[in-house]
Amino acid sequence: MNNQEAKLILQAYRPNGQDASDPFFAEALEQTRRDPELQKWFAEETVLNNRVQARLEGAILIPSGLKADLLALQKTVRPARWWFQPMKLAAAAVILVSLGAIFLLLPQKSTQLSSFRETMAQSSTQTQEHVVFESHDIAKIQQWLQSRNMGTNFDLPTALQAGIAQGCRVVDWNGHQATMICFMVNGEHMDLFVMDRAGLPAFPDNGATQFASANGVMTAMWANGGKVYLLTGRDKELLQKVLQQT
Amino acid sequence: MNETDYEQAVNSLYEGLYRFAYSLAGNADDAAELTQETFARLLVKGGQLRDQSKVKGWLFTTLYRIFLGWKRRETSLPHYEIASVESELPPVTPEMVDKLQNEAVSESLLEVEERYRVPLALYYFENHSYAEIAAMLDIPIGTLMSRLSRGKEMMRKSLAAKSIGAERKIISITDSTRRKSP
Repeated sequence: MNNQEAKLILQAYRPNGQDASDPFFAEALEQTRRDPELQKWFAEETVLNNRVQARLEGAILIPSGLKADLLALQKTVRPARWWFQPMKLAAAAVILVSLGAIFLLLPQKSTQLSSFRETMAQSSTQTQEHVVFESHDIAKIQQWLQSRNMGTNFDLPTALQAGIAQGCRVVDWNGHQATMICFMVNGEHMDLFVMDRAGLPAFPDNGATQFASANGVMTAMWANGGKVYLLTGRDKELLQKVLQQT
Repeated sequence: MNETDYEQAVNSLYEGLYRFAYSLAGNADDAAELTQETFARLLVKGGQLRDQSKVKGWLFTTLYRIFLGWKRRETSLPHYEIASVESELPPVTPEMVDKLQNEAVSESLLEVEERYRVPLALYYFENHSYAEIAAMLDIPIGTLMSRLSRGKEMMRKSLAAKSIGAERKIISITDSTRRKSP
C-alpha cells in the first residue's frame, strides 16, 4: 500500500477512535506508524476533521419545538393495517398527518424523565464550577457528600471504580437532590448522577438501561436498589462498554 | 414500535437526522419536514424492524429516500453548485476553520455537489462508519472512499476560499486607514 492509497482509506477513519480496531484500517494505520510524513498528515487530518465536525454541529441549529413535535406524532400516527388500506393510501396519510402536525400540534410539556435527563446532561457539560469539591480520593468525596446529608450507599459501576475521580457536587432537580461524581476513565470524561428513586417513581426498576442523548452528550439511565442512576459520556458505545464491566 | 422505543429513537437521533436533512435540503423548513416525515414512517413501519439496533440506519436511509422522492417530484428545492475557487488556494487549517463564522462552515458543506455531500454529511453527523454509509447509500466501499475524499476536498476548497475572503476584508480596511495617514 502506498501513501496515496493509505490516505484514501484514512479519509473514512472516524477521528474519535471508534475504528481503531477495525481490520479495514489496520494496514493504512500501520503505514502511518512507519512513515513520519503520512503520520503528520493523518494527525493534521484528524484535528481538522474534529474541528469541521464541531463547527458543523454548531452551525446547524436544531429548531426548539422539533423534538416536542416528533414526540407528539405518536398521538396522531398509528401503524398501518396491511389488510385495511393500500400502500399508497398509507403513504399519503403519513405525509398529510406529518404535515398537519407541523401546523396544528403545540409543543408538549417535557416529561419528568426527559427533564431529569436534560438537567443532568447540562450539569455534565457545564464547564464553570463543574465540581464543587475537588478530590481524586473517593473516600474524601464520600465524606464531603455525607457532610451535606447526601446518602452514599449506592453502587459504583466497576469501570468507574477503576477510573480516577475528579470531584463531586450536588445538583438540584425539581426539589430533589442528585449526587454528581466526576470521573476520568481511560482518558474519557464521565459523570455519574445518583438520586433517590422517590424523585422519579415512574422510572422502571427492571434492570434495563435507557440510552438517550441530551445536551450534546449520551446518557445511560437505570434504577437499582431504590436509586436512579444516570451516567454521561461521549457516546453510547462507550457507556455500554463501561456498564458491561459492571 | 412501542412508546419507549420511539421516544428513545427521537431522543438519541433527531438532532443528527435534522442536521443530515438540512445538509440535503439546505433550509430549515424542509429539513424539519423531512425529519417529521421520517419519524412518522418509523411509527407506521417501525414494528417491522425486528432488530432495534438497526433503527438508526433505517432512519437515515429512509430520510434520504424521502428526499430523493421529493427531488423527483419537485424542481423548487435549491440546487447548490460548488463555488468557483482558485486552484492556488492554500490547504485549509484548523485555525482557518476557527476564524470562520458558523454559517460559512455550513455553507461550505452545502456547496459540495450532492453525490459527494451526502456521504460527507453522514460521516460528520452521528459518526456513521464507512460500512454503514455504504449500506445506506447502496454503493460499493471503493466508491464511498472516493466520494468522501472528493467531498472533503471540495468542502476544504470552499472553506479556504471563504477564509481568504474574510482575511481580505480585514486587510482592505487596515490598508485604507494607512493610506489616509500622513
